[in-house]
Amino acid sequence: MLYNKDGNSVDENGYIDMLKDLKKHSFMSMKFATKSFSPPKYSHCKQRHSTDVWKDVLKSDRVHWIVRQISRKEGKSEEETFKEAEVILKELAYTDHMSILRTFAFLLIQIQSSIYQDGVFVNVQEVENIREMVKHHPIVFMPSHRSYMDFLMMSLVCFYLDLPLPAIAAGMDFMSMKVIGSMLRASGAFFMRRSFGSDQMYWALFTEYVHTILINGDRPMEFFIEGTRSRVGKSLNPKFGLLSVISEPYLKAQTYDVVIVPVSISYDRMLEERLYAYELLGVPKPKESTSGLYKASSILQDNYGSVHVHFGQCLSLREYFGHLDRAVHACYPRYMLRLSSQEEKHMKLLGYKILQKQQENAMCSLWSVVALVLSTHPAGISLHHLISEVQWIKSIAVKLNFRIYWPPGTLKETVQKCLFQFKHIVSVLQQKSKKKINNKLQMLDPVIQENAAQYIMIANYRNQLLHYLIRPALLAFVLHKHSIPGEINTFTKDLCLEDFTFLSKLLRKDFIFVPDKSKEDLEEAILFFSEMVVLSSDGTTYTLAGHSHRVLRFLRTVINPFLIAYWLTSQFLISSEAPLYLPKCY
Amino acid sequence: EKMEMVNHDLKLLQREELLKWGGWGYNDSMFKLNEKGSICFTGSRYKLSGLVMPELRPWMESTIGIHVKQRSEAVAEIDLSKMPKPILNEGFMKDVHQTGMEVSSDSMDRLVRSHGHTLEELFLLRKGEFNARVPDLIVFPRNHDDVVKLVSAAVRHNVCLIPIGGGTTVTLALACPENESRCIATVDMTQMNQILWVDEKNLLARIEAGIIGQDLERDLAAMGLCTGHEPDSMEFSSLGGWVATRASGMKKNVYGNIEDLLVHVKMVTPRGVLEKNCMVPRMSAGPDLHQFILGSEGTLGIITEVTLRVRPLPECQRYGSIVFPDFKHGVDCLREIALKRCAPASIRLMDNEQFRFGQALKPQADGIFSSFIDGMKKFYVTKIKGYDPSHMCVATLLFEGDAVSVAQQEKVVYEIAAKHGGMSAGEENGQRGYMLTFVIAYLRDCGLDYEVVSESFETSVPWDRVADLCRNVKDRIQHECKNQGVRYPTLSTCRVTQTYDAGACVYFYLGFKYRGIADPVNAYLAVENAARDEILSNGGSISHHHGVGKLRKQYMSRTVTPAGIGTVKSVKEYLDPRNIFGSGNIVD
Ligand SMILES: Cc1cc2nc3c(=O)[nH]c(=O)nc-3n(C[C@H](O)[C@H](O)[C@H](O)COP(=O)(O)OP(=O)(O)OC[C@H]3O[C@@H](n4cnc5c(N)ncnc54)[C@H](O)[C@@H]3O)c2cc1C
Repeated sequence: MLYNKDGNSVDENGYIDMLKDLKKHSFMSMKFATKSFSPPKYSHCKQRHSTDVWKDVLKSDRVHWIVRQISRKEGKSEEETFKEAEVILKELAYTDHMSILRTFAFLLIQIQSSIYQDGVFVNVQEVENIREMVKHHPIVFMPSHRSYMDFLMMSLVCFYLDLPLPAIAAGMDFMSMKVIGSMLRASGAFFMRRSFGSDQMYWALFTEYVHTILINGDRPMEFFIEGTRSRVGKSLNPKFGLLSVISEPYLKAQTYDVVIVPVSISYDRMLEERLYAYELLGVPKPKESTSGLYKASSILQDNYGSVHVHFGQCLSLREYFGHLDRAVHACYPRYMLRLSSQEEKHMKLLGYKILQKQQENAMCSLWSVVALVLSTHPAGISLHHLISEVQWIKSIAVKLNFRIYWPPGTLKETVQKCLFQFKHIVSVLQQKSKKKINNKLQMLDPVIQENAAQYIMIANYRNQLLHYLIRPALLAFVLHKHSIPGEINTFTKDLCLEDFTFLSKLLRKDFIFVPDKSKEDLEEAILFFSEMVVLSSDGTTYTLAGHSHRVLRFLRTVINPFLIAYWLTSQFLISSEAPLYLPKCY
Repeated sequence: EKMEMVNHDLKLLQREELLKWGGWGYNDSMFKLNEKGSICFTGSRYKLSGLVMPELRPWMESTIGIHVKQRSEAVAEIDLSKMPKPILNEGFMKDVHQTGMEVSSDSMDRLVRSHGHTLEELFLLRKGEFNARVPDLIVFPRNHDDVVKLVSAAVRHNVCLIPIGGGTTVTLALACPENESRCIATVDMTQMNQILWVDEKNLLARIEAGIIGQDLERDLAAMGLCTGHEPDSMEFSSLGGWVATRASGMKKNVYGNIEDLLVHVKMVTPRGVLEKNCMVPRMSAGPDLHQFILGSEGTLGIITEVTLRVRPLPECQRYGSIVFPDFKHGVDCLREIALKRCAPASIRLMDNEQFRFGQALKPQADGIFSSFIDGMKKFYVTKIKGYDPSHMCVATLLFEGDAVSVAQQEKVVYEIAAKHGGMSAGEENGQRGYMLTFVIAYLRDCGLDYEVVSESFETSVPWDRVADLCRNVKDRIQHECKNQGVRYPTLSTCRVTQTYDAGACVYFYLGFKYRGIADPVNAYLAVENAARDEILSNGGSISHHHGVGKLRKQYMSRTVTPAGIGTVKSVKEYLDPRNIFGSGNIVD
């Protein structure tokens, strides 16, 4: 049913609404969960049961080698070590039970249709391509990670689109959730410990487990390149461990190719919006438990707007690494984890590339534009002014092709609708027609300013947009430093580069900057300003236009809080008399 | 039953009278469409000769997309007047005439010694065209001393020499470098075809390097002996060629490859004769000079006499075959057989496509050629055992030795096979597989008649990479054919033909119909190069036995380090400073 067969139409942005028909009748969820499911299969896949997957891991060269080493080192018998390995693998492995999966789909689709009242949108053009790719190459989905909902969403969307269901590298914390844990496992999740850097055995088993699934193509692989959920709406810097694990089979010629599909999952409104805000305020993160999740979902009967799931263009490792000679691995056993420095280097760049693709394809919401404006007016702003600011940002966004979903209707209507949807964060004070951050939310710690949580929520929504603005904003600071008011100010790239590089290095944990690419980043910022007619160029020097203040000031205001945070921290550290303890992670 | 061998004394005849000038093998033998529209094999030399293969045409139609009306025939006669004019060297001619050896500047003689059997060479011939350079002169030395005189004359007069044995090379090793401005004298070794002596005490035989494989085996068999060296080209390739290319024979598991068989060799170089002073089974005297002669591909000198190990003819020969549910199972089985060191004289594992191709070659009604499936009882194989005909593979086996050890070996091999899901599929299937060995080479010409270019190439690879390499290379071929604009299904198939402790030799066959492609040869080369790149990337070698020639020179720098290339060059530099042996093979 559903996809493409009953004329579920594609909107002007290339998306279809997965939930469209589900809202018509309650029995549609049943129909959804029982729909026929016949995804394409990888042509070289050898059919095997999920228990054979981990059993095959135990037979692998890699595991034999490590078992032998560990047994010798620890003076155990190999059988003993194998037993231990088996225990770890069982804890790790996914199972497949189509019936559990369908039950899961049934429940989930109901939850989704009730909370995502504006729909779950999926771009379908690329899906056709992926469906073809699935037949020829092992696939790895790499979704952005903002919410618990992400991997549920991925599996559901795959189920809906008749794409094979992925095997998902999920955090151990989910495993301890009682029912959900085994449900997740039954629908393809396998669980990895967060840190196992030094545990040779675990690393070997995990690597081999991922490899065997990838190479045989039992399922597409799915993992989050950011490593963990980003609690702040921005992308986190890429983690490279799993990326190397999935690249290795290609680099060592165990597969013809590995195809990566970056996926951007964008939520109008986050399920965890409050949770994250409190976490950032230092309230300890609740342990993931089923009842916790349930409670969370029962509170949330509200409208969470829409979700956009965007499958990015397939990225072939064969093409990406094409220039490297894989024969460098010919003189070592393939089970030894060993990548060349060239490969390591390109792997890192690949991580950034994937993240950038995720950012490019993310669909920002009108609400994040509103949040952007609100965040620059912490004392509140009149509705009229808000709308005109949004209008101004829209003109920039349209000009520069930001991917923002502008709902149909006048801006006034849609902004108001948006404010209503987020009334738990903002309220419009009728009398003065002024908007203020709502005070109604419960107070936290008395030390913390009462509305800090709301500020953080606003900031987190704002953050979703910042990847479009960060580079020009840094340049705005640089231009500001070097220009004299009232005069004609000209610049060269070289003049800007040093400060620009300094700032991007300073903020490299906050924003995604590919290491050693500040030249390119600067170019991008210059391009932004050229298109905005803020800078004009005669080829070597750039001249600042007279009317440029608004854009520049705006950009500086947006990014200022990040710099101030560093400044304050530095001040504190410098003036502090107490001995300083560096946190462990540094 | 002894494997079929053609009863013709090649050495007594001029090869032109017997062999095709523009294709593979004997004049009278070829695959051809008969008046009923089925493909048959002509002539009377082979077991398959005179038989019709009704399944072959449908197979070629569905697997490669041939159409009987879309033909691309070769020119009937080649216009020799268009051949490049010879560059002659008077002084050299005079010196050579004085030795009394035969010399020919006949155009046809020059043409048939100007090439090997790569696709591009054949394609050109069939069009009736010539390379810019062909040999200017053919000389026929009669013995070692003639060669010594010949080489010194060449040095004196700065003439380029290219030795040729059977001319079966598939690496462009015989192609004359286009920029060679000296006189090129191709040295036809086939008059040096005597077994000089046999020493049964030490199981040795000294043989002149120009002898052709089938003549050698036949002459030795008359004495109850054999070398056991049987490359698929043995009907036409020569002993000197084997040494010069590091050839490998089908039965190397029992007899060894050419380097294992070789005990003593003489090579005439511009610096003099290179040889060892004794004929011993092994010697520690610094780096083994034989290893420089083996695989020298005509670049260092002329191999004149070779002393090989010989063996008494085996008492017993038995064929066998095993079916496997899929290729991976087959590879695992071969690997275990190699591990247990119980490999029969020959063991070859065909992939599914080749297995089906084998079916297509089944002649109409003939006892020994009865359908594979008939022999196997189709029902049993596909239903009860659960073999899927679209994945199933077959291995063919040849056991040699005394009756007791053959029986023992069979038992062990079939036991191992059973562990890997393999099941004996009878003797006939095995025998049939080996009989097809010699006729398969004729099939390419038939394809060329119907707009199909095809070729085989090989590699060696460690065991753990065998299955991956096979799959990836076959996939790469498919992808590259698409890139090249091939509009018809591509044939891309492989087999494992040799096993070692540490790995295996894999053979690939590649063929496609080129209709609609402007330059089929270049398209083909692009595909083969892509495949070779894939092989190297997968940890495979540049070649297991065909050699480098000029075709794979570009891969030498990826194969050995600059120090390695320098070593090869410096030996060449010393032995042949004026590049008399200027065929330009292996390295630049
Ligand atoms: C259908 C077919 C099947 C084949 N099967 C096999 C196989 O199973 N195993 C295998 O190893 N190869 C095989 N080959 C490749 C080929 O037969 C071998 O390379 C063979 O060793 C070449 O011998 P030749 O006498 O034909 O040499 P040629 O083709 O005449 O020459 C090959 C090279 O050796 C040099 N050379 C020849 N004779 C001498 C000499 N006396 N002194 C110095 N240099 C010399 C030549 O200059 C040239 O560089 C096959 C080829 C074909 C077409």
